[in-house]
Amino acid sequence: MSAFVFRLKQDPDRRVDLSGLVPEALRGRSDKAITRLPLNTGKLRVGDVFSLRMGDTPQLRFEGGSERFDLVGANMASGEIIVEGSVGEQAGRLMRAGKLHIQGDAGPFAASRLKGGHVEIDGDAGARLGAPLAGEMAGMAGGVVIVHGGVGARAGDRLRRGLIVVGGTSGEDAGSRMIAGTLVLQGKITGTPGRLMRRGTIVLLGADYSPSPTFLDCGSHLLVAASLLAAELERLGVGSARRLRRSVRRLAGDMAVGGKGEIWISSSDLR
Amino acid sequence: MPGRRGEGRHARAWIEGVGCPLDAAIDAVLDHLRRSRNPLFAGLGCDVEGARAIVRLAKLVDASIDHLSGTATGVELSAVRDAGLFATTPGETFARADTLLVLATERSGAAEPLLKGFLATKPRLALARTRRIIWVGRGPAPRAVSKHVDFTSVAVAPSQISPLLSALRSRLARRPVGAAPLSPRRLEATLEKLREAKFGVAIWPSRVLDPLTVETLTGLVRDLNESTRFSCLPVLSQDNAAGVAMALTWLTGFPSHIGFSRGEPEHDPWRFDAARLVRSGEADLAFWVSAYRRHWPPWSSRVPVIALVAPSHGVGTPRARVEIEVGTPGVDHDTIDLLAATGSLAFRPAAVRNGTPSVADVIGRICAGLSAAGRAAG
Repeated sequence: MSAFVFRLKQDPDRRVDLSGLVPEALRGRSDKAITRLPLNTGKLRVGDVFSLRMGDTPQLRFEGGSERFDLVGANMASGEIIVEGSVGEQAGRLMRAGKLHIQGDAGPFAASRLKGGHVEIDGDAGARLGAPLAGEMAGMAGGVVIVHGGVGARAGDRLRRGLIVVGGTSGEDAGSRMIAGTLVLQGKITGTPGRLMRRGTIVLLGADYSPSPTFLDCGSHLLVAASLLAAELERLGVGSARRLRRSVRRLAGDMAVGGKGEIWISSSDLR
Repeated sequence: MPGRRGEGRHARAWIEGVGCPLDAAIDAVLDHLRRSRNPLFAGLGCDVEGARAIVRLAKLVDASIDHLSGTATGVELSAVRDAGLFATTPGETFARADTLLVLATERSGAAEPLLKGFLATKPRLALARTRRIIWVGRGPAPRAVSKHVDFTSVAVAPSQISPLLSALRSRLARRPVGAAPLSPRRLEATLEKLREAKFGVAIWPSRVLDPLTVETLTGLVRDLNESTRFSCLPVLSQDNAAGVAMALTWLTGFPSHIGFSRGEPEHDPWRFDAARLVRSGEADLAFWVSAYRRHWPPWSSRVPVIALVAPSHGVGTPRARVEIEVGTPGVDHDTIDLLAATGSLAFRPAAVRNGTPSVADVIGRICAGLSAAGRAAG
């Protein structure tokens, strides 16, 4: 029992679309057929970029990544993909199930509109983690995203369901326009979290927060929901989650758009 | 035909900074385009015919287009796309608006003449005898304001515009707010003025507000429309940026950031961003078009550039690998572009008509050269 291994021959000279290389698409294909698969740029085929070692499990391993690999694991519905390196934009876009593990950094729109499954990024992720693309109305709809490094601007934009956990610093305006779902930020934040959020929960575990006028302080509470979230986060290996078992300060907002969302702050006090 | 007005002025072109005839420059452009793996078209300061020609050429050479590099119109377009926007025209605003909500910082730029006009006039077709102006941000000098105008200054720092709009929107829905940039009394008074409008218009120069602030504002306007009439008037950036965005949309389906490398137009604001394409080395040739004024993108020294630009009139030296001077739309040749005053596409005849080629002329000749070579090879 072994995984399919795609060893990078050399960094491609143009962006490549790897959405075709997911476990269910390789099932029953010969190695010749796989190396001839187009990389959807019309010019390069799998064999031009990778040398392939065939496997017999629904598991893919990319030995070597590139910032030019777009749509890694997009639409994936089962199995596992491991990338030993970095990837470009839209990794795990519209993924439904399975596991995607990126051992380097990911570009913008990682886990864009994720529907299910588990995405783990060991390095940093670019802007708009989990967010919809231009012209799409709703963001991530389910699943779990864990980023150990930092993230770019507007992580969790229009998040609708599911859980995003960020270990490092988050860029401007995380959790913008959230519709529901949970966004946990363990590191420092920049800008104003939760701008135009309708519902959903943003959890700040290590950030200084300056309140904006449309988030109202509801005081400190021991929340049952917080301890349930703590249990889930501990299961996922998020160490600082134990802080949620103590009382958290709860703010309700964004009052500009209904105010049914909330920000929980567990670490330092409000400035 | 010697003796006719403007005749005898030849197109001016340069290869590697050395003056040459137009034919030689076009041959050099063809040579660059044939050798390029991934050309990029950027700037797109041109009229509608120019935009049509650029799309034709970009399709032929599998190029990417970043029309809005260096302009801010993209912010307003993304707000329209994501959240919708009640829009009106400058003409309607002059004639009917009894209440204006102006959001301006020191960077009002292209909006300055329009804003001055509103400060000096009263609405011709409104019931109210005065125009009420609520000016958020850095306001004009008091003597710029006519006696027909009921002027309220809300002086807040640019960073406080968004919290202020959020607070207004929240109070409009009778929800509570925390510590806002205005005192509760002034916040309510400002809101009351907005509520009392019969025909209100929110005006802001592009570049002043970030996308989420624009979305907060368009949301406030939408909420105001539950009880009165309110619209938005973003004052778009110069160089016919919005006109070209319209033309690109009807030609390809997208206003900017378009790629043709897969045969069909694709839209991706990140992948087809000019600065990123140059920085990453993915674009190996840039085609810069700026017919209204002579300016260069910040990345112009990092990639070979072919430029169709407005005449230098002796100021500045050629900077591109191949540089061709093109006429100014509406001055040197007839044009169709977006008129800021009416907010619509309109025909403008040439003021001089001196034989300087237009963007569409030059690119038409490049396309003809590419297809002739294609036929010869086939």
